Amino acid sequence: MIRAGALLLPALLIAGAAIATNAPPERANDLRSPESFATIADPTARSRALFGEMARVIEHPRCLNCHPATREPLQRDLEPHMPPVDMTVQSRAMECQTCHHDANTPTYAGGVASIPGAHGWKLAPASMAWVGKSPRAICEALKDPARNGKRDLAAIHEHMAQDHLVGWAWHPGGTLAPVPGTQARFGALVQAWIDSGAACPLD
Amino acid sequence: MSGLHLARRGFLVMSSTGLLLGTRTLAAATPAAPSRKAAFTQRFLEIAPDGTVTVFAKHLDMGQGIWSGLAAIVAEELGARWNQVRVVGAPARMPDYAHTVFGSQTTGGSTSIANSWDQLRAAGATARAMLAAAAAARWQVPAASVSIADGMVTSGARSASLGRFAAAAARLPVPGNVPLKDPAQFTIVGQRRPRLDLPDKVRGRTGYGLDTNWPGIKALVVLHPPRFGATLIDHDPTAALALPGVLAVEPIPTGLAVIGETTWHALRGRAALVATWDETTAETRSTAAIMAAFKAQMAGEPPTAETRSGDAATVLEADGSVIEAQFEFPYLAHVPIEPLSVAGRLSGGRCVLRSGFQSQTSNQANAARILGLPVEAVELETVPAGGSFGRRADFGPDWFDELVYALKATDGRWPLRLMWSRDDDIAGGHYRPMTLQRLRAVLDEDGAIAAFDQSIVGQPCFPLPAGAPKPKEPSIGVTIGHFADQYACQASRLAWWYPEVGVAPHTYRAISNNHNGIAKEIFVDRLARAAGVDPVAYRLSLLGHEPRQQGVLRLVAEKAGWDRPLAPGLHRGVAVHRADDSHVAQVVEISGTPEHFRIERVVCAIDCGLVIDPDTVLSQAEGCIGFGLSSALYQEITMDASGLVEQSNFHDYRILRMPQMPRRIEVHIMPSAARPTGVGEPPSVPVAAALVNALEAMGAPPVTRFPLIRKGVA
Repeated sequence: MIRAGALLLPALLIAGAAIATNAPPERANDLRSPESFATIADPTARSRALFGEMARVIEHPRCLNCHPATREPLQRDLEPHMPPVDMTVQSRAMECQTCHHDANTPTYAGGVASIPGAHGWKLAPASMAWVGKSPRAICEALKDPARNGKRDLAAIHEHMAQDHLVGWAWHPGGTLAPVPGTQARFGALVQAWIDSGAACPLD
Repeated sequence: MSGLHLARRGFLVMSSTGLLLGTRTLAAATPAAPSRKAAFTQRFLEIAPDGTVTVFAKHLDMGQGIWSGLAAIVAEELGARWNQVRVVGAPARMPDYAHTVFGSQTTGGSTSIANSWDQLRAAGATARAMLAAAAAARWQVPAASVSIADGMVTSGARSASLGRFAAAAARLPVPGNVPLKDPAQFTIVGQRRPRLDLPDKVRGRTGYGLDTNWPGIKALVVLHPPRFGATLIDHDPTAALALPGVLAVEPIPTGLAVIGETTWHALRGRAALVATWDETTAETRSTAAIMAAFKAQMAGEPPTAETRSGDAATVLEADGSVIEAQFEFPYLAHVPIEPLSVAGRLSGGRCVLRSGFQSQTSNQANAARILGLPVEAVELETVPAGGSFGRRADFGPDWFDELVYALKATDGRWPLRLMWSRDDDIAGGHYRPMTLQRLRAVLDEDGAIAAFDQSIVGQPCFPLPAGAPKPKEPSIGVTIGHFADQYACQASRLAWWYPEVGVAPHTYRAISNNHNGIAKEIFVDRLARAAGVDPVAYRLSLLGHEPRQQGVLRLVAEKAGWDRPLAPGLHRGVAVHRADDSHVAQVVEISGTPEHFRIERVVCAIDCGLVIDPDTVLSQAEGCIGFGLSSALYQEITMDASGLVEQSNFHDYRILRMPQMPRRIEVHIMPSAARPTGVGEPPSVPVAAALVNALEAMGAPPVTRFPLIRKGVA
């Protein structure tokens, strides 16, 4: 198929950002600390707000690119992966790790400064497809053991705070923009979100 | 990949080792021994005692299959056996290997077969006559009783391999005016045959220029200025030369040459160079600004040159119902899959260069001039190229000159192999020129074209020499394939504005047919709609003077079932064009919506005169269709607000992939006894227009610019 229509996805990123609450971070690429949400008294409202801050990472292209709606990974700013990759046909024929190795690989090519890499580079399972989903839908999918790889909340925290493939997003290499903040700060936000009831946004 | 060691008569040995494999079936596992010394040598062929026939191809095979095609012509008249035929590139030598129309040794315009047809038939027939005479003398039989077919010389009950008589034939005088075969008797030309280059290409043994691996060869890359037209002020090679494997850094006219042990060393060294550039005369406009300047030039200045037939202007001004269309065509890069490359060595006052040369005479002359050597001291080994689409033709200082400058700067200390990386290639200029087209027409009450006007702003793809006066007639680098040259117009004008742009133009597949043909075929469809006439019927009515275009149009309509309604959900468009004396019509059928469509089928009808090999026509048609769709759908070279090229590789300069290819391509060849004409370019022209016509039939808004799909734009 030839897709000539406009990309809808950037609009979702904007929607995600709109959920972030009142006080902006100190620098645009920082993540707010969990403590800065203490001003929200109601735990559920605070929980939702914390997820909104988490969404600045979750809905960033560094993460969404490997959580596509179809079995075709994306690259850069949610653009079609080039060379084309469709894991519905290639899952046995070509591993991601054929080109994406254990570390970012700098090139001497002008337009592609680096080939991203981290050990075990792969596409998220289809049950974890996030592109095109609202923050609420992503949150619900994240918490659903049937879709999140049978994880409980503690396991979700460990994945977000410790997993090295998740951690790549903060050190993508080349000219790729990293996700905001640090993995440690992100992990702290996830813990605070869990502690406040792991509430999902309203939309 | 085995190393290719070049001996003294290296090019023949290398080529023969490489190409002899081409005569074997895929089942053969052992590499062939070099052919034995030829016993019979003429300008276009030589014959060994074992019957091997080697054809010297004066043209470049860039994947279009021309080496097999030229060899087939010789083999046919000679009576050779196909699996004993090999092809090597002819040396660069004038006047022996001149293109009989263009006058120098060069390849282009889909004319290789057409200009070689008579010449190679004569060469094969002459050799046949000499072999027959030698056999007649040996066997003491009348020469008229001797026939040669399938590699065997026969008279009555006697027969022997034609190699047997090669040495004796070489001692005979060369006859003139030898009669040629009746085409009705052809057994090689017109038949499907295994292409001679296929086994090597399947096995990865073809020796492209990029594969040159002479002993001691070093890799060469060149740092170009970031903007077109900038020149080097100063550079610091210290950091580069400190890196292991970086051997030399030399300024050359187009930038800085970096020599390394391997390409990786050279690229690494290049990345460590510090250079400052003088950009006072560089092109720093964006492509958007350049197109805006084109529009201003068309609207505000008289044309550089124009031609008129009758008085179209009066009718256009008087009539209120002018139909008008404007199209913007972007710069296009050719992106041949083998990166631009050339190898060379210089010693003892002789220079040997090896590449897929497309303009041998020009390349050789430039090298000789740069080195201060006589032309005869520069030897070109022309090997197959991995694609060209016009890029490897010589129009001004280019990559092959860079290699020669580097040899000169290093005094031939090492053999060198230059490569432009894909990024270098895409950002390297030498593009299909950006072109603005405006077409206007008035129809009479019968729907015929009472007045027509075509206005074009664009650089000619054959660059004008620096300082040359402005042309007085529209340049053929802009006008080939224009509307009024093919469709009947009662009055017409063709106007051209020559823009000053600091981006190097270049010939691109189908020359200016690739924008004229598309503009013409979209516009004529809109005229048909305005006249209320079926698009095929309307075109036929305007092509009374072009029966061969009418022929392919009728053929494609028949094969596409044009007179039958389409299945629900399908839409279709048609286009026809004459290019390089061949005629092509295509119908494109699509499904889906204008935002999300699939190309279901392309039906193609082609009249290229007498066909050398139908498989080559099919493969060129299919390749042209993929090529034309790639450029129409995805491709543009854009420069940002400071004049930097924004594209760099196949992720942002896209080519069609398998999922986007038409589900079916059907090619129908018009039977013809006319002189053979070309197929490498003509089928690339109509497909974009036929697709647009299908999209507009589907309800898409009128197309005004290419590519059709742009990042982030619906």
